[in-house]
Amino acid sequence: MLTLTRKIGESIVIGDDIQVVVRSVRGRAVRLGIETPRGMRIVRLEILDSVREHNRQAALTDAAHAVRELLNPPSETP
Amino acid sequence: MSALQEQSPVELSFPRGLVGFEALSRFRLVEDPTIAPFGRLESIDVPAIGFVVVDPGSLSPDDAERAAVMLAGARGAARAELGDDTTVDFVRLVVAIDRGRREVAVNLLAPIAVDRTRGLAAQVVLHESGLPVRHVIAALVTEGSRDVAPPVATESNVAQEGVQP
Repeated sequence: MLTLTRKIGESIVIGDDIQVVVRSVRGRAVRLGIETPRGMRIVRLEILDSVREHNRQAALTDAAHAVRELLNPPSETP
Repeated sequence: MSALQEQSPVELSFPRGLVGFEALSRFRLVEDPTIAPFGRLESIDVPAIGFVVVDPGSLSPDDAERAAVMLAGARGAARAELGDDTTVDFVRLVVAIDRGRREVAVNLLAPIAVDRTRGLAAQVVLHESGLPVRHVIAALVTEGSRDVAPPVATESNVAQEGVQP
C-alpha cells in the first residue's frame, strides 16, 4: 500500500481524474473532499460491507415462496 | 385463477449491479398482488437469484418521515449514478430475512431507485442521511419447525388496527 503524508488543503490525484483533498483534521478524524467522474460510486468501506452483507442475506433462490411463508403463516393444528 | 392479477414485470438495467452482486445487471421487478406489499426483484442473468423488495410507502406511518428523507436522497444520488436526465419514479427497499437474528429487516440506507421510463435502476447509498442499513420491520417467531413472521406493519393494517374497539 502506498502511504503519503499530506497537509490540510493538499491533494492527491489517483489516475487521471480522481482528486482527494484533505479538508480538515480534528483529533483522530480526517475530513476528505473527493472529486471523481460522474457515476463513480464512493462509499465508506464499512457501509459498503454492511450493504453487501444485507444484500447477500436477502438473496433468495425463491423470493416469492419466502414472502408467502411470511404473509401466510401455517395455521395451528388442533 | 385468482382475481388478483400479477402486473406486467418491469425489466430494469442496473449499470453497476447491486452491491455485492455487481455482475448481475439485468433484473425483472414483479409486483405480485398475492405477496403485496412485497414484490420480487428477479435476476435475468442468473434466474436462481432473486430478492424480496418492498415499497417504503407501505411501511408503518412511523417510518413515513424517514421514507420521505430517503426518497429525496435517492433522487439526487440516482442522478449522480445514472445521469442528470434521470427521473426516479419510485424506490424499493431490499428485504432480508435473517433467521439468525430472527428478524425481517429492510435497508433504508441503500434503496433501489428506479427510472421506469428509461428502464434503469441503481442501488444508491444515502451518505450522511443517518438512515440504517438494517431497519427491522418484523420479528420471526417459530411455529413448529418453520420460521414465520407476524404480519408486517403496513399503512393499511396499522390503520385497520386503529379502528378496532
